[in-house]
Amino acid sequence: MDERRVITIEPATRLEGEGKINIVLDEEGEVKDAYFQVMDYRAFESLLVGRQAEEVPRIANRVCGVCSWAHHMAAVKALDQLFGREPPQSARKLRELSYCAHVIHSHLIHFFLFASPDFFLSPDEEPSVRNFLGLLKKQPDLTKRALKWHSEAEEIQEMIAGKAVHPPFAIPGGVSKPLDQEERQEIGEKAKGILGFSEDALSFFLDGVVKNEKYADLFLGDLYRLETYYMGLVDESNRINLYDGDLRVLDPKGREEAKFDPSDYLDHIAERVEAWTYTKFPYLRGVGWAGLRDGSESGVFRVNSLPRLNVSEGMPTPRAHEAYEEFVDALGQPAHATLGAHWARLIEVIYLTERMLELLEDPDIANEDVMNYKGEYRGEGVGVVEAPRGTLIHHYEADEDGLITDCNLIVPTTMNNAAICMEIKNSAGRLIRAGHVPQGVLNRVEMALRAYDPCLSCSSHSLPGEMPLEVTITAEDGDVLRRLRRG
Amino acid sequence: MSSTLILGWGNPVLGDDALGFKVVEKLKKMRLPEGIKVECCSSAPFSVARRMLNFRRVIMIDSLQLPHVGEGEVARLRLNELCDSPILVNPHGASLPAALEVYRALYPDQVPEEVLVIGVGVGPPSAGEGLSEGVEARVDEVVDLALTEIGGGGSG
Repeated sequence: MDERRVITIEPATRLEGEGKINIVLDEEGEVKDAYFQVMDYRAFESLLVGRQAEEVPRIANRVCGVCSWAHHMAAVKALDQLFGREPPQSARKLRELSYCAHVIHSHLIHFFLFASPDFFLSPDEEPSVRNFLGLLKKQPDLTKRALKWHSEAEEIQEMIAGKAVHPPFAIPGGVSKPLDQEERQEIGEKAKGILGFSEDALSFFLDGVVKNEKYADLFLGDLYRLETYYMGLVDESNRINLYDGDLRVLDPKGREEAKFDPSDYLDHIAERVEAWTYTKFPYLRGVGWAGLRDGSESGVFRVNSLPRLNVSEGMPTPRAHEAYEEFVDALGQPAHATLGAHWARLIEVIYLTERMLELLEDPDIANEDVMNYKGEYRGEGVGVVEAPRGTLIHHYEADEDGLITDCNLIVPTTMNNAAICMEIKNSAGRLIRAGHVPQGVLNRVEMALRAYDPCLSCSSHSLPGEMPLEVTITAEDGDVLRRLRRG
Repeated sequence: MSSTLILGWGNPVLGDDALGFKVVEKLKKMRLPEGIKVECCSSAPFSVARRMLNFRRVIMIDSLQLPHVGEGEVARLRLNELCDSPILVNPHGASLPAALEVYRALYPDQVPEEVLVIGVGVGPPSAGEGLSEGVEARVDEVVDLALTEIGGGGSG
């Protein structure tokens, strides 16, 4: 039997949230094309049309079980605009405080559960060994602490909002409850604990990975590297802010391409549709679509933690800024090393905990005036936040009765879609030669994906509740040569 | 401390994925034996696993997408029967059995001795409220199964 016939690894089960990678080989067995396909279409936008606008932040957060807070915040910021209500400072700061806890919660689990095993256990190990449990055996203290502080971050969200996931907290013009002194003190203690841990986690990463020659090529080599445009929210001093600010775009050389009010996103971002995937391909309108390629002539851009650090001219808090400078010294500005996203996430955790402590010291945070019901109804609004995995845009229009007539959600994984496809082609092309598919190729390709923390359809929790991934390698005529399945 | 948690897991605006919410809604209106806590959530697996800590037994109610459970078919199985490997993770998330394995390694005394799953086989989910006719018709059967498990009798 031809050894290049179909090989299925792990039983293919029918689950939700299908992610599929197609790698096409040419006649010589070299990688010709690679595509990341999302196989589900959930149509959440159509669900929101016809709803009362004020309901939207509570419905839109159901888009995702992992990043519900990001959808909640982007939606409510759009609704603030739509109703013409400016939230009081206390509400704005409470939103940011809770949002910091959400991103910390997300980043800690991503780094320790999903990313760390790639670095602290061999990438060539079987998935049954290369996982969090394997890491737990090797680094028991650190991994236990990671899970503890991940849980504490979730408790902070619950304390502020009354609910850790899918919160009914932010409402157009403010938030549903103020923070009392007891909660303020307790959150402060938790934030100090997270800060201590996040600094230890960064040292662990710097000592074990960045300063480890074995991994230097992963960061500085070409296997995981794209020279694209970058986008992210920045404050008035071009420093990172995940809750608010202007969107700043940098070109691959590090020059500012654009800086704009998020409400003007349609002037800067266009979307391309391809017949083979349900996911669109956003690109920079001013640069244009030049296909799945990087460089200054291609409008492909990236969002996520690495792009956020790239578009920032520093961090607004002292310890995070110190860590940022070390990052820039090592990876450059802008950093094109895709796996630098993991490093950037740890720096962001330090920033976010420092920012939480700043906000908790602010007298506004305990002010009981957390709602503004007055405003001039506009009927349209755009809300943008930096979700853990990148820029998230919610755009709504409503009629004179306050019923949603149109909406547009652009999620980070969609923004990164072109880059993810290119990343897969890049990594697969360097690993698959003359038709030979080496062991471990699935994990090596997954390492590129993991850096983006892609979120396909995690809003569905039909058991067993995981996102399967399938890699299909085909010949140019469509014959399936090999199929690798995870999940 | 409650000894049993009945947990409806799903998404109330994702069609048949709302099954767990619908069943829990019915159970909450019933008089249940002492020591039974009933709640629902849409959280990611790690948060769900954390909610299970310190319960002796958990009964999960959810829609099921499994090759051996047909659409509209009611199934009762143990959580570890859902996956071939309990420790699978993917680029973005982990399965619930994987999350529980992690907690078991960290806090062996706090993880439930038994996690039972009662559910109905569903097709690919899509956004929208309300269960499909086939799944809606099975809700009372799932409620009865859950009641039988906790010794509360059927809904009759």
